[in-house]
Amino acid sequence: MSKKFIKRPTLSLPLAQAEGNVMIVAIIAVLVFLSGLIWVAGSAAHHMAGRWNQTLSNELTIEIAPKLDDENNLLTPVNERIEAVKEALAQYNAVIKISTVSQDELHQALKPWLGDVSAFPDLPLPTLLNVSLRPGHDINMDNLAAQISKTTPGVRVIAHYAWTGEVQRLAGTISWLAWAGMGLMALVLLMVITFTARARLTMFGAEVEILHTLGATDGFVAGEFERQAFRLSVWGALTGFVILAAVLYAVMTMAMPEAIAMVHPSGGMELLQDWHQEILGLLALPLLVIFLNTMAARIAVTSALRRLI
Amino acid sequence: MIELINIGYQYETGPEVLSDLTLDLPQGSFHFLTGASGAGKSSLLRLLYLAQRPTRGKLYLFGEDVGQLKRRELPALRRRMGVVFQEHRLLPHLTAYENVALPLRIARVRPKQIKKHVTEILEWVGLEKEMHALPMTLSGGEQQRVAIARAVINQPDLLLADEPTGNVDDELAERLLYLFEQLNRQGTTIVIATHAEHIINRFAYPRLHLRHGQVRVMPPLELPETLRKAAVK
Repeated sequence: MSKKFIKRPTLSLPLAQAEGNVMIVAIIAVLVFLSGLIWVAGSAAHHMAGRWNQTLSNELTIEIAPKLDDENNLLTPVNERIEAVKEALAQYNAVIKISTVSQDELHQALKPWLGDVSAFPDLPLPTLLNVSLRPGHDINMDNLAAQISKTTPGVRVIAHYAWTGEVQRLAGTISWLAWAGMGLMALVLLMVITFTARARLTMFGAEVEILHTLGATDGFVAGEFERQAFRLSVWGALTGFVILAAVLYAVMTMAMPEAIAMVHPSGGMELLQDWHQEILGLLALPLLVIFLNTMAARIAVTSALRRLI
Repeated sequence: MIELINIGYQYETGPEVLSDLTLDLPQGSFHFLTGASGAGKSSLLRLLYLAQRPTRGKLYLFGEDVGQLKRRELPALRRRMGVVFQEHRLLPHLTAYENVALPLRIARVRPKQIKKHVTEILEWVGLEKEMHALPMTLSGGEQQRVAIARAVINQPDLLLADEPTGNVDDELAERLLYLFEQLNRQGTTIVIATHAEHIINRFAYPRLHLRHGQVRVMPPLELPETLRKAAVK
């Protein structure tokens, strides 16, 4: 870069020399960083909710309680009841897997509520079957439950899909909060840029009058502010984005691998592939900030100049 | 070129500084604008270079009724004028070259043309060696010459100068007036507001004398032959 080029000012107004430019760059950087974090957190919540939703929609549990007489004797062997249920389930093509929950797993599941139940072998515990369904199935869970109850009385079908509404609502709320947070950040940013542009228009009123006297249009004057806003925004947005990328990289690789596993079981390149829309959104964030700031500066100055003679 | 009909002007509060001012300045004319401090010289100049609009009356510039023009139409008229301010009003972060180039940049002239014209005009005002100097490093006279170069770089149809000799010594003041004469001979209409009687007396041009917001056109002084010759030189 030649010395001549460095010395040559590109702005007719002394905006580049004005105080507070570093502060504005810092504010933009912080807001880009926070907006990026909110975007990532919102996306992660959305994906987690999606995964949970998929799991809950495609699984059900069947509880087969032992059928006893008045003296607690088995009326029908449990195995016969299990087989009857399995036969009923076999009629459904969407059923891809049926697994029986082991006694040990059942004891572990009951431990928080009943304590160690393995010490009571006579305790009549139900048998649990986990049933996995093909994703995208069209089984009516109520009909399925009625069918199984009909063939094997005393069986309870627990469809997890009842929880999906709650999960979807939670995901919706988190997404809404993320958008609201980003909107708030954008609003603060626009207010900072607009206020700064107006303040500098007042600060450099004499210089602006000289430009007008020399025949400058409002567009020329606004262009000066626009270019300065563009420069500050580029510095601020890139700084914020680099910090954000560094923090996300640190979180993904070092600090919270368990948390990443919750969001995406495979992680790594697969995560990048599955999240390509979110990543594109994240990359667009600094560009959007630069564009919004530049436009805000232009509009703020143009509207203020219109009030002159 | 310039026609004022019953022009009145007042600041937001206070009396009219110009009242019922009627004046007609033909193209290619040269006038001194005189009057005591507060007589309205600067206000009249501000109306002429379109920094303000008159509160009443009609102002015609280059045949256009300024009162009928929209804000977006004013820059085109301003580009046909050059203005020299008493306090120079150079942009302090720009070099002499860049200050002079500013009207051309605003008019979107090509950089090659800008370089050619600015270099020529800085030579004309004798500042070719100072073209990369910032205004703060120039003397008052040099700054004034930069301001004049900036005002005339567009070859304006109208040159307005507010006390252009106020901050310079007599010798330089006279040289500046000769520069204005040269421009006038090329067809530029010139109005110079000044207090400097010795300058006015040295150059045989009519004066517009402002008093109590009214203007009186006074014929040029009859110069002795020796002074006239000196002025022509």
